Amino acid sequence: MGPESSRSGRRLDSLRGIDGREAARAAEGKGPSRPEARGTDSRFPGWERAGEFLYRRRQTLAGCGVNLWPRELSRPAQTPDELVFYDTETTGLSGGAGSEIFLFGAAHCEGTDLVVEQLFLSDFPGEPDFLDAVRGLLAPFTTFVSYNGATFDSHLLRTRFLMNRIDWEPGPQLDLLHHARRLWRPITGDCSLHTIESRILGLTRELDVSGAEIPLIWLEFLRTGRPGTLPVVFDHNATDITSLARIYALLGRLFSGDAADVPVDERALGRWLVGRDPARGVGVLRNAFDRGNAEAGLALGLHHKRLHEWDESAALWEAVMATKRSVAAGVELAKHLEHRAHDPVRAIAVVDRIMSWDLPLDGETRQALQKRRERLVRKIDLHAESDPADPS
Amino acid sequence: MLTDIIGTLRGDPDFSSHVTHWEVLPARDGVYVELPPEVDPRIRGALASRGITRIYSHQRATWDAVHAGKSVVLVSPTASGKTLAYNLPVLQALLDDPDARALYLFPTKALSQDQQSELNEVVLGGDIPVKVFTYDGDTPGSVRISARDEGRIIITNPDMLHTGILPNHPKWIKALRNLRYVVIDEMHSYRGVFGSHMTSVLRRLKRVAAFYGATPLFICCSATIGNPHELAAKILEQEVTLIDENGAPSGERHFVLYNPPLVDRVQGIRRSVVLESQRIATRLLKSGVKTIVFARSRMRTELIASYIRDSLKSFFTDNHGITVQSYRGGYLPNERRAIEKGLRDGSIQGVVSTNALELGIDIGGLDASVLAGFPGTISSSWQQAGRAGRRNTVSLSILVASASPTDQFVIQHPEYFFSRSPENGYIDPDNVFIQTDQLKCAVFELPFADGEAFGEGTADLLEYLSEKGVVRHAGGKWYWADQSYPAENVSLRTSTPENVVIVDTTRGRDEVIGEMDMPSAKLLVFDHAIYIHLGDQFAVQRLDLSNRRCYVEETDTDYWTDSIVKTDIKVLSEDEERQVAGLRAVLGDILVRTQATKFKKLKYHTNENIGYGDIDLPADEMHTRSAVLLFDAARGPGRRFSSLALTEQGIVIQRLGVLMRTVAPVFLLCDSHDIGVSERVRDTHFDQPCIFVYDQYPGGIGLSEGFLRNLEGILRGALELVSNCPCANGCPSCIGAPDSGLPAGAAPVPEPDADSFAEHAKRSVRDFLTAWVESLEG
Repeated sequence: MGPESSRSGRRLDSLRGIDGREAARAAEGKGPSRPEARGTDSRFPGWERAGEFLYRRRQTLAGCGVNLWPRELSRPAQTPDELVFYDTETTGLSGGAGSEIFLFGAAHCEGTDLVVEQLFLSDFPGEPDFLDAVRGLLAPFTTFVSYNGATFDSHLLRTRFLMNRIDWEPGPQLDLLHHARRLWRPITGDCSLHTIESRILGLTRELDVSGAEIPLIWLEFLRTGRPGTLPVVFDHNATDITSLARIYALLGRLFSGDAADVPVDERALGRWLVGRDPARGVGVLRNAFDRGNAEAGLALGLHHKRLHEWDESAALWEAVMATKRSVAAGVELAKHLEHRAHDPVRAIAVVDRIMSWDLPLDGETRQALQKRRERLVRKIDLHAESDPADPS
Repeated sequence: MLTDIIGTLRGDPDFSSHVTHWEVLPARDGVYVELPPEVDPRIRGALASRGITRIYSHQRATWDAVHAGKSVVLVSPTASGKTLAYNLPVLQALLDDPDARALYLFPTKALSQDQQSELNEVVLGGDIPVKVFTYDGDTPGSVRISARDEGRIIITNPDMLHTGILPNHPKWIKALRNLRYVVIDEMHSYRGVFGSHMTSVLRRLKRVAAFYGATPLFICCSATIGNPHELAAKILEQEVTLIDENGAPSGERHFVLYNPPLVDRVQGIRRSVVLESQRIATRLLKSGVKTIVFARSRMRTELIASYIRDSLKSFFTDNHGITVQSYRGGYLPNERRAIEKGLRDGSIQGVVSTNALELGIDIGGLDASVLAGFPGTISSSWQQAGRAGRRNTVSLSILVASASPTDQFVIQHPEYFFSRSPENGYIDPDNVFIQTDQLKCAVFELPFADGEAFGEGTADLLEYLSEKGVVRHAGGKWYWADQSYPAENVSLRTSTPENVVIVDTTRGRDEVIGEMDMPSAKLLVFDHAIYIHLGDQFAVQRLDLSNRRCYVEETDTDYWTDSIVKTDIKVLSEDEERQVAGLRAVLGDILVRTQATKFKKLKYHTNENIGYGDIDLPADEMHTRSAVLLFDAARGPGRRFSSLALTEQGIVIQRLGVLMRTVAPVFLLCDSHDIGVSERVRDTHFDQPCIFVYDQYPGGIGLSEGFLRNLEGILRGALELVSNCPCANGCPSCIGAPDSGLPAGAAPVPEPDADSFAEHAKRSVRDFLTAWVESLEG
């Protein structure tokens, strides 16, 4: 044994020492075995081998396709065939270059059917093959539908392709999480996919794993070569994608007005719709306001204001103030009277009315109101001094 | 003006009779050269608008080396224009190539911000189209994306590079693919364990840059240390060109060593360093001299600043129009910026600071510096003194000695102070613990190919990590196979990043006024402590450790508080016994407990003790590794030791500890604060005399093991040091200055001949060591 090797042995010994000074643990399994590169693998029934470390599975779910499709949300797709629903499972949850994707699922519509295709990476060296297959799977589609994919999965995919020096960029993202938040947060509070599934879609999962366990299950498989609960992860991923398609279909129904049975906050629905189908959005908000939902009236007023429909919005502010002590509506009305109607006298009256409610306002709002009032008073004084013939 | 005052001080017996040495360093002319002809007209314009048409020779030398494709280390005293030395080639490269990027690394956030404002001045003032971003923990999320995608110069710190940038390198592809220059300022801070980590962080940076096809050049700047070239080469692990000429002019510098007068000749008590520094600084300030005072602790900083303000107040109602501020870590960033700006624009004439202002933060030119106590190293002393002095004007630095033996030695041995070269910086990048932690981070960032190197013995370490199950070997590569984010669990520095925020609750306020690291908070802002912030007094209402908040209220007292700290060592396990250098040595785990249990109330100005209080806080505990040298009376060096008189035993073992603390870092390639040394004449656990040498890092990082392996060499080195040291009876460079005090467990009542033992301390230690080393030869 030369001096070099004895030094390195000593270095390792001191490291092992600090780990609790226990003997180095014998390597546990030998990792995944390597059966034939083609055909099937008894460990993964239902899966087809597609490479040394790559497996593939295809499932068709009848009747799960998307019939009413919210085209306005789905650009650039021209037909539902161009949509792909996707989700990834990773080796770590904190991101960074060392988090890899080991399971990729994608679904698309074929008529009334939903076709779910999954790719499984059984060991690190297969990543280039795996990504190549992911690229192939996604190639026919123009629009990528996901849950939180705009901020997480698409970046992760980009990172993996970059690190493997494969030229690929994810296409336009339709992130259903954004829509779910706008529509359902008032009802559900949190907007995780599983909350939406149970509270909005009314689905329950029987056998499932939590997101935090998933990396451990795959890493354990790498160490032992035994699938363990991997099949549950496979199904978890497939169910996530199916739920994506269901939520997407639900958005289509909400769009077309065919969703009386769907739990949704009317103001949220109205606000969501006005940006996409103004006529229907205005209708929903108007209905809600007529039934006493002042917040819906406020939202409608803001919609008209955005379109510079000043009279409509002003009428709404007044109507809202008549039903509720709404500071927001009052401030909007005062702004309108000051800057559009050039009627500082009435504007002051509105400001004074807000003050007279004696609500517990935060300092900033109170200060802004006082400033506005002072300015309005100056305007009236100026107006009184200036020559009435001079419009300036 | 300053010349007059220097004359007055020289002629004033009240001052000059306490001066032990007055060194005058002559003025030096600047060596100017033309700007290189290739410099872009836009840069020329920006420089011309700041009055710069020629540059110093060392700035030109840096430019030439960089243009020849060489990495550089520039040794640059304070105010010698090092910033321009690296900005010039970097800006030129960024203008020549619109894709090129540069990364600037500073050891602290405060320095980053300073650099950003300096660069903005050049860049914005001079119409140079280069975007500069600071990227650190304070950068808001919205700015981070622009910084990554558009920042041509990214200013950050090693910690952020380690936990934020490198693990997410795909997000930084634009910057990394085009990375041309990496600037490492204050390189001398990267020593010991911090420096060893730094080498690995740079290995990771080079690795990731190479993945994207970039090979950056490095431009390092260092304060004056003993071995800048060697340290740079070790940190960068490549050839570096040393530039240690300095073409900047400097005015005449007076360096005065001042020993406060004795107030009690019998007991040898001198006036306190705090009061005396305050007196000197006040005198300078009143004569219109812009002055900086360096104090050795946060509390002393606040005290001296308060005393100076008090003494100015008593003269004229308007304080002579003089504003004096305190400055230290823990102030809010905007407060610090305001003080720095006030010093630059002249609205603040005096500042009292901890070593926080020792580094390169731009505070403009001051005339005088007062060092309230020896800063501990020659290198720091010159850095601090260098804060005074502008080009071409006279400057004055006064080192005021404290009562500590080290200070008293320095003040009485000027030749030691002026002839000794600054300390060396050591690092050990292949410390197996640091290397393994860093290797995990590196595997996370990019898989390792078989045979790829990351310091010594990489393959073995990868194999080890694979046994532990965090790395997987497959298909000729090593992959990260764990769900964690390793950089999160690896800290580059000793101190924990956890801070306590200090909240002012006076009259219902709820305002954060400062912050403090956890260990210091336990010693400084315990319940009922007086906390001084920018000269205002606050009484601590409650220190809430679990929520990391300390609630304070304004107060007005005539005292300050000082905690009484106890440190003890508990042996947790004895894992291994070895025979080393004729001694039995034990390697094991220990618990180092530091706890403040009581505090004193000390009256302002007089330091009179006017009361005590209890502190009820949990101890700071560090579980670490230790090597214990046992002086068993039955044999070898232990027998010789036991034959000494009890007092002499105390002196010898304590001085051996001092020597080990000095010599071991050279062998272990660490910094002296990376190890702890504690000597016992009789230890209660081992029931014999012993010396503990332990890692100052929780869990240990192998320094104790290294200490035992190198003990024979360390002993020989110690003997050589003592034998060759020209001092008469001990100095801070060898066994410590005389009268360093006795260790725990030493004879409580001095024996009649104790003084004579102390007088011969150096001889006793040398004789003991000589015999010990001779016994090794056999």
